[in-house]
Amino acid sequence: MQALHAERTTVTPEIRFLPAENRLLVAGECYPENPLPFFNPILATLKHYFELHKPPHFEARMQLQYINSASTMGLRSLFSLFNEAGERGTDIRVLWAYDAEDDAIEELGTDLVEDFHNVLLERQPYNA
Amino acid sequence: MNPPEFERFQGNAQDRGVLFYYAGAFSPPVIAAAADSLKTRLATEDASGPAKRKLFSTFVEMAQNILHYAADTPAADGSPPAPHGAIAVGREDDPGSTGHYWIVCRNPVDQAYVERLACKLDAVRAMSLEQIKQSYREQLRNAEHARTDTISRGAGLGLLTIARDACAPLEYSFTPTTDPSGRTTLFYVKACI
Repeated sequence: MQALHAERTTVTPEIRFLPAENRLLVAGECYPENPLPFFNPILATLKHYFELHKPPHFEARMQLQYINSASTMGLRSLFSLFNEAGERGTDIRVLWAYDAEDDAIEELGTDLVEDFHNVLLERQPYNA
Repeated sequence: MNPPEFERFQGNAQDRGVLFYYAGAFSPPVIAAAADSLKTRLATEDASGPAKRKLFSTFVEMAQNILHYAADTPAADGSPPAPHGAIAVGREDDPGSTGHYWIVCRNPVDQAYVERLACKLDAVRAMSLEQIKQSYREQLRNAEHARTDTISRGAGLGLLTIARDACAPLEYSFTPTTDPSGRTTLFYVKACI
């Protein structure tokens, strides 16, 4: 399985998908005007990975400083994939890091896992 | 624009507390560049971290709304028509205001969208912060909505995001344009932060 790496841009975060370690890292700001070209390759790669490898565990570390409303839909799709993998037996952990002063990102983490009972969200506030 | 005219222009902007203003064509690179310069401008402002984030977020949502919903304006140089609008951010000097900053945008919209936009704005204006957050959660879950609602491609999440960060109900108005065809109306929105 091919690793996936996208460098951070002004409007998209850094992405590192490390299938050998069953890990995904997302860090930065996310506000592309059209989120589909950014999210679709990640969603397709992860869907394939979960279906093919059925990993016993998976960890996603997400540290977003800002995300626009259009991209929250892309994140919700990502969490939906996590939840489906969880239903098939993968132990899914999301480390949700956020600036302790930033209520919007903190609440987004909670909103994203709503109804997704197979995703364990660990909140990690930090002081910027 | 001669020196006295420019002085008046600058004086007006200063009196109104303007920190940032852009008017013209909206495109993804223009928005990215504008958002980046606003961020740099806000870094020197003596405001809290959350206030700066709310201003930045509201700016991006408003600018991307203009890009998606503004009626295309024909370009003078013959290039393809593009969405046009104006957006400004400034400090609130009115002691009667609840906010410390204002952010306003105005763009032409198709006449056919007016009623729909007014309904959405009125609904959001009547909501409490808790209701805004609840509605946001519902729309985030309801991703299907985005594919069935062709006018509101963002499923209204953008408007709810702007309303969530504002310290008072959003203000809006529609005013006639000079467009002789009467096809468009100018749509104005103001958020206080």
